[in-house]
Amino acid sequence: MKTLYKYTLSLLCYVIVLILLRFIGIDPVKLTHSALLSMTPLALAALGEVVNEKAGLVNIGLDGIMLMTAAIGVWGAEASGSGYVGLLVGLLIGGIVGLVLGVMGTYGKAIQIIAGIGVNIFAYGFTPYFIMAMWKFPGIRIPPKEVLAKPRTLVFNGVYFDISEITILAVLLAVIFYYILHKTPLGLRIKACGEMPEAADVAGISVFRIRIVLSTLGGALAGLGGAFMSLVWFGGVVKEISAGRGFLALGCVVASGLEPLPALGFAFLFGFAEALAYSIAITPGVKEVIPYHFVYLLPYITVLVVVTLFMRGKRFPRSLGSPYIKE
Amino acid sequence: MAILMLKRTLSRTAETIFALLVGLALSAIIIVIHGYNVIDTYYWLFYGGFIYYNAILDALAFATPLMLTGTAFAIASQAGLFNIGVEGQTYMGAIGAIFAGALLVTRIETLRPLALPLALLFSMLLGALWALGPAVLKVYFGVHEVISSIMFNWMSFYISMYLVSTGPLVDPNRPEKSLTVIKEARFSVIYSILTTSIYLATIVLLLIYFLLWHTKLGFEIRICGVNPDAARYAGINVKKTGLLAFVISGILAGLAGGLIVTGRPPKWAIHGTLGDVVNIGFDGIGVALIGSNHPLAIIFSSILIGGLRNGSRLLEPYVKMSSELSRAIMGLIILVIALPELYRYISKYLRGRLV
Amino acid sequence: MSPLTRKTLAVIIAVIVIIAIAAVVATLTRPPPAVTPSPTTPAVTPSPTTPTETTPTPISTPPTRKPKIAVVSDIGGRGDLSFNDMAFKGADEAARDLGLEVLEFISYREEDYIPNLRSAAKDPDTILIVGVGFLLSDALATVALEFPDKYFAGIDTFSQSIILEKYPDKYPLPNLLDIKFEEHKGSALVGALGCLLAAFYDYPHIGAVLGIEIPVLWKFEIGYKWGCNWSLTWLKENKPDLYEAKLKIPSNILNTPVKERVLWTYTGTFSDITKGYLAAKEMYAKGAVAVYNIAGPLGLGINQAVEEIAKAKGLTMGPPFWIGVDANQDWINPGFVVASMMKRVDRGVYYAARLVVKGLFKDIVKQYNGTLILGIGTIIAGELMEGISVSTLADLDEFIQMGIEAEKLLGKKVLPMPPEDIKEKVKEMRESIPPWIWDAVSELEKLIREGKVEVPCPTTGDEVAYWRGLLG
Repeated sequence: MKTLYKYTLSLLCYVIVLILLRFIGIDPVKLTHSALLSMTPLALAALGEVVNEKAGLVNIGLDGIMLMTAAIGVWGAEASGSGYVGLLVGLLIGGIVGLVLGVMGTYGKAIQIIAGIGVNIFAYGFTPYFIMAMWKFPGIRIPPKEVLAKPRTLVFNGVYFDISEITILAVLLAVIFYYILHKTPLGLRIKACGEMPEAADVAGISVFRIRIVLSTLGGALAGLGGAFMSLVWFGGVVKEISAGRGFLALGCVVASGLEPLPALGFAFLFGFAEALAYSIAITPGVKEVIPYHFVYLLPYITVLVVVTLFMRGKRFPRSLGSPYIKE
Repeated sequence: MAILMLKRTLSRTAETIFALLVGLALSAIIIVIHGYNVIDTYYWLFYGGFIYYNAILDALAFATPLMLTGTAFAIASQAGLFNIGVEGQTYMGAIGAIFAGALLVTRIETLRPLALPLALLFSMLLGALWALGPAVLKVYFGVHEVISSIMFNWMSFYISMYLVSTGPLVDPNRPEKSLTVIKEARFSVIYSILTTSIYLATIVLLLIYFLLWHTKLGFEIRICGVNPDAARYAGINVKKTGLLAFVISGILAGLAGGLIVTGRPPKWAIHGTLGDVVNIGFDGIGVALIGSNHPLAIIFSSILIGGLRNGSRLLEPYVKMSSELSRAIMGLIILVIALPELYRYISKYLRGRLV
Repeated sequence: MSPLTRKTLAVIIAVIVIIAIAAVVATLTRPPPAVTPSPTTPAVTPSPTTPTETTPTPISTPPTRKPKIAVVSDIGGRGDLSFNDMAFKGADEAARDLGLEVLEFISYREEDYIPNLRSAAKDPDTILIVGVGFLLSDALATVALEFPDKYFAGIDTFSQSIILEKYPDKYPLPNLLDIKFEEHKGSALVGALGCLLAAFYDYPHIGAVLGIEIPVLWKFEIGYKWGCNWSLTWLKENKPDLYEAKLKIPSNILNTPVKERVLWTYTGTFSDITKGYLAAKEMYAKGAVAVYNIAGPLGLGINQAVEEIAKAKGLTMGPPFWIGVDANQDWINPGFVVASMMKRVDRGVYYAARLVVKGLFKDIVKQYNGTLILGIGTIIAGELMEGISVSTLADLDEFIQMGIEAEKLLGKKVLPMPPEDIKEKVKEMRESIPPWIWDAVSELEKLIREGKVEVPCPTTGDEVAYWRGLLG
């Protein structure tokens, strides 16, 4: 009940903010549209990582996965002729990386943080190399329009609104994950793996299996997020397309205290604040008062404030990041 | 006791070298798949990075700031904290050095002879301050250091960019870069881009080693990292120790930024694009991981990474390959390093102890 | 894990290790390449250890060793679809026509500049080393001093001014040529185009998305705004009836205060295309008819913003438009890129190569004090060497040809639609815009060429502040 109250309250705040913006002359519909686009890759990666960490594994290679799948997804789309296949390829590649990390973290007894950094650095190097090797042109690839998976347009009396199925998927996933984690026995099992793997093992839960599956899922979702950026949002890939968004997703995960719905909320909050910052920055007259650099601080300050006020002292699963060693 | 430590060090080193080799082997597969010449690639990477025309000196120059950011990350890790904020703290360090070494000493003439120590002091101060933010938020408000550090990194980026491109620290005659620090605030040049700053960096690393393994504080820091509960029971104030470790981490990262300004000819400044300081923090994390979070090992891993970066520049012209491949190789190496058990596993197998 | 899995895993790992060791051994025992140490010792920095490699015996001497032209890129490297890519295009063309080989060096950070330039100069086959980007000026000056037997050219650099400042007796350095461009003039032309479009189609603003605030970009920014202002004055003087009619429409740019006409912002990045998207989207939302891309690859983000609007309104061509930069970017989205402000960096590089091959380099340096400024109507040594232009249909042909060749090479599609369709669409778009607008732009070009108007070229913060105070 308390959760429902919290969420309706936040929704109300959001609507009020939108109305206020209207008064300043900023178009709230466009802002929401940009926010949803920014939110999608962040949310997908964050949601995947939330369930991953709930079971006790840490994957900080999200940024790397997103970057790689953005490029490989474009290749997949061109090879097959369909943007959706490209998205699927992104999902698959992300899943493979997640699987490898999962196996490394369980059977391999790897130090997960190191492995995550390894994935990132690898991706930063592999992606430009891949783009050059595949298309003999350095740093950028714009595929023909037909192979993209563009969003659908909804029109309400002259006001157009693009929304992609992937965005809707992200929102749905947040709700589904919330439900599974808190209202089903599977969720309990997952949480047990994270909190006390020894006890879970004794109780007959296959800790390794759950962790590997969730790690694969987490990687797959991050992969989908990356392919979304290149195939749905921008219609092309540049060698730095992820621009650190994977780490922002990680931030959302941490800020949310490993809860799917707040993770989605933070992803949206960030996207919204970023779009708002740009809207303010280009408004004539603003520049004389404040340098644009400081306007760009807005999204980061916003997230910090929200986290400090509302998300303190979140507990993380006890066994997070350390490999579970079976006796 | 000493024998045991030696054995452990050797074993750890062997693990790392093993990981390096496996990483190289895996990368070789990728190189071959795309039709490039493996021999040429590794030749230019290693020979070109370390030997060709005194390349080792360039490699050392690249390694200097990495040594510090690597140790910064390492000391926080030893305390069980994940200081992903080294990036932002490095930018702030550079800002501090420019402020003190170019602005302060020209306004207050009596301070001129003290320019270099002042510049370094301010860089460490700003780095510490910037680390204090996430540290305080964690200790007193329970905000996880990862999210706060990431936010602080970005804020540092924009604030620093403002200061050096259109703000008070920009060079009015050459607005594409910041003010240049005065002669008294520079290290002496050894050769090309290498300066005596590397001596300072090495000394700092030795000091940190000494701190961590031969002082009470260092001991407490390490215990907090290994087992915070045990530390608490032993009477150690885990919160304060963690805070201290985090701040020291910031000091080191700030110093790294300061060295880029005071120890990098011919510019002795940073560009308005922040290109000189971007990624130094992040690469430092890689250096720390390869060096098992140990300052002495970090000396070597930073030289390795510095050399690889140096060599990777030559891949483009001579092998016609995207030089970013060297990053992919680094990544694979780190991935393999993440598997400490692998080496033990292999050695056990080789000793015939497996069924 | 079962013993069987353990065994297989172990075997796989052992194989990998053997490959690794073989690779390392091969690497270390391979003799040095067929590269002799440069005969000229560096003049300025002493080398404590002279290279003591064994006198290299070439393993496989290529039958003919071609002279090389080395290109050292700016940070960001290739793939920016503009600046760096144009430089490499010029080098490739020079290589093709003059029988040279191209050596590419990519700089990832400013600290790479000197090592890259030095490595390029040390290679005994290089005859020309090109530094691309004005951030390389210091490095270029330093290395050019060290290697007096090699020729150095810089794009957008001011290395000779640095020489003048630090070593006045050596100025101008005979083996160094700075090639600069008058981006402010080209930007003025597209600014004029943009504002006239706004006046014609009744939009209140035009926009500009910029990258990182460095002094080069100031030239673009102020030139663009100045051009806009000029064009509206032109409109008043040359088409008074239209002017009066448009004045009555509140949403028309003529009714926007001067300082608010151009919506602009620096994004602080040349690589995060999200920011290009967000900034452009806001500008279009506020009513910009055209957004000028002054941030390389961010054009992709700007294009995305235009695509969304096009889809929503069912448009096949603009308005709204965006304006390309450096290279001809009209083909990226035919019908929506109204024109590109072309900076012929490729011609600059080609020219420098030609000078070296023909042995005329030192003469030109002496004649022009080591600095060439290529702009509109520039004549160098009696030859027309224009560096700035607004894209025309003929330019489009050239770039489409490049695309076709790339497709043949790759076997993959590069162009968004068949070349004939691209040309058709662009032609259609250009014809849909009233001819007097194109005429006005041509007139401005003529006035600039004849030196009858002065486009501001700010170089210091104070100058920029002054112009921003006037134009917004």
